[in-house]
Amino acid sequence: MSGRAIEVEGLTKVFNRSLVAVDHISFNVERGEIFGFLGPNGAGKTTTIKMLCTLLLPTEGKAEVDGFDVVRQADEVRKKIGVVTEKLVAYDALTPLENLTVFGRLYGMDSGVLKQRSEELLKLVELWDFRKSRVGNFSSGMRQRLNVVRALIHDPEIIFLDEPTIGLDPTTAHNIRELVKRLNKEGKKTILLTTHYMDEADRLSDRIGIIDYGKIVALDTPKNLKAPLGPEATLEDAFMKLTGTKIRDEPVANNHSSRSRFHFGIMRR
Amino acid sequence: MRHMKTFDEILTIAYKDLKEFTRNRIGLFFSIIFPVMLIAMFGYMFPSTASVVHDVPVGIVNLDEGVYGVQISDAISAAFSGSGAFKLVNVSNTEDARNMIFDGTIKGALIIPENVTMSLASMSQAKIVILNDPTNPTLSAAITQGLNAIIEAVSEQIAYSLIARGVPGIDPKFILQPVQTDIQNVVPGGGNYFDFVAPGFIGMGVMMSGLTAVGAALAREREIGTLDGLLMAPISRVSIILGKTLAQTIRNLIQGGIIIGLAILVFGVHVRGNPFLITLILILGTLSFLGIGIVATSVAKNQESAQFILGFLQFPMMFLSGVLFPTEQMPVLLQYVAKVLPLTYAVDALRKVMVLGVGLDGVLFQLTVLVVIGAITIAIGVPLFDRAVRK
Repeated sequence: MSGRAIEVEGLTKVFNRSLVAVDHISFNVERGEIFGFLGPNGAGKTTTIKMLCTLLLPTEGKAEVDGFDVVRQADEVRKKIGVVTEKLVAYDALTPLENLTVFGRLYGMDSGVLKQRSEELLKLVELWDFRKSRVGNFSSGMRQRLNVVRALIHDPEIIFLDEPTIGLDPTTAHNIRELVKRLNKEGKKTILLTTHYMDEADRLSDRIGIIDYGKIVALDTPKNLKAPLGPEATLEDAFMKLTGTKIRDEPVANNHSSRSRFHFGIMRR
Repeated sequence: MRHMKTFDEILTIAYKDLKEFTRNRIGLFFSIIFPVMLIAMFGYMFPSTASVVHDVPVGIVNLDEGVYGVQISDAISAAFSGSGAFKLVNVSNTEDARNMIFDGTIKGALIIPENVTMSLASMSQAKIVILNDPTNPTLSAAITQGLNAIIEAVSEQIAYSLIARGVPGIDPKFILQPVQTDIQNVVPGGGNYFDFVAPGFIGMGVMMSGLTAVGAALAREREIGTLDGLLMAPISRVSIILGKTLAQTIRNLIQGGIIIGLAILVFGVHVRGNPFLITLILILGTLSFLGIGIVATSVAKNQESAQFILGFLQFPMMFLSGVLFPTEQMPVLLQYVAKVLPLTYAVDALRKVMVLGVGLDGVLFQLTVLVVIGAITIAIGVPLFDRAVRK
């Protein structure tokens, strides 16, 4: 396998002919890399991920995932990616095992392999004991753990994690971060991660891209992003400097907040 | 290979949907109890007064070539030409009249048996038969009422002439009512309002769940986020829709079966037709409504607006498709509206098969309409759905 895991060139999404959610962005994600994709609410993170995951058609530009075009070769892309979305992708009325079975079969998995893999994954996130209870009765931590392994059922090469630790208790969040690290180190998976926890992004990511107003405003290693702000600086400082300076600027601040809300509205659809 | 894969995808989605459905006990219970409740409600509210009717075709069969046969038939023709409520159609024999009621050309018939003149000449009471269509009790009642009035008038005329002749020693019953009517149904027994409403509500149950099912299920999956999971899987959009359609069709068949069973056991509804034909109607009905539901959901932006659109479609169908009362009783404009609603055809076909025991030939037209509506709406709906989810 050659080439990069993800290549994005001038990718743009305009909603309703006027709202520019993603504005000609270009970036690459190397194979075996954990790429942190950060930005304020409504900056265009989820829209970008949705285009890369073949859920949204780009208005303009080009994106390739594992060498396949996200528009023309959507089915090939779908086979290669595993996506942990913000919302739980599992049916409440079904058990975790049934959920994994349904999705595994949709990926055309052989039933023997599927059975074995479901057991492995459920044990990995300590849901095996609950394999026969319905997801509807699960706590939010259990649901999120299932959400993560559900996306891994077909052993994808490239994994998208959209705010995987949001709203979780420290232990669950920690476990998920450890899982992400293991997938990357042991499984050699490429990971694109979005998060609002700067500390998490700092610890996990090999490189970080920061998106604001639909544009990439910075792209570098966490270390290099923090460097200009001195030895004590955190990634949060760097993030605030890159995206938050405008907030202090009154006229632009208004503009910023109103646009943020706009974007938020779009995402919620 | 590709077909096997698609087939497996469809089965997976259908399996998942059915499992979700069977585990939703409350939903399961109410989806069955709702139509049963409606049958009970409307069955007991039997509308006894017939509404105003216009130009309803009624057959007349005159088997009596004697003087009274002609007199009665002339009197009826005269009375009919003035009323405007009925349109008289001459039919040569009883069998033809029966068949014309089956295929809907006439809504009832009046039969003058061959022995009328003979009976009257020998001073015994003569009977005239009114043949009714039990699929349409309110209209039948209106026809019976109208015909009875006419025959009474004729009977009176004959009585006057007999009294005027002053024949001694005749039966007083004969002198008071020389011609009597005998009301019959085209099929033996039956003919209550339950028989009429049961197929209507089964059709309506199929319509409601068909319309909302796939549409609402897709809208719901979109809202809770699981649709993204399906869309990100390497499967075709058609598999998602067909899988849901399959699940819903199976569900509707089971539901329809239970409702028919309860209707027979609890309300004494008579079901005459072939069960396979009833199944076929339920399947085709489901498909025609599903297509509409998919189109509506694809056009809607979220579950709430989908519900509004579907409600907007459901209510006219409930009231204008002949579920509660025959479409013939509605104003002409609304009759045209009824003709474009698929439920009209589903209910009509179900009623013909269940109440009259008509075979495939008798409902071929209705079934064709359902197939065409289903094919067109699904053909429009799938690409619309694809566009709606990917934008």
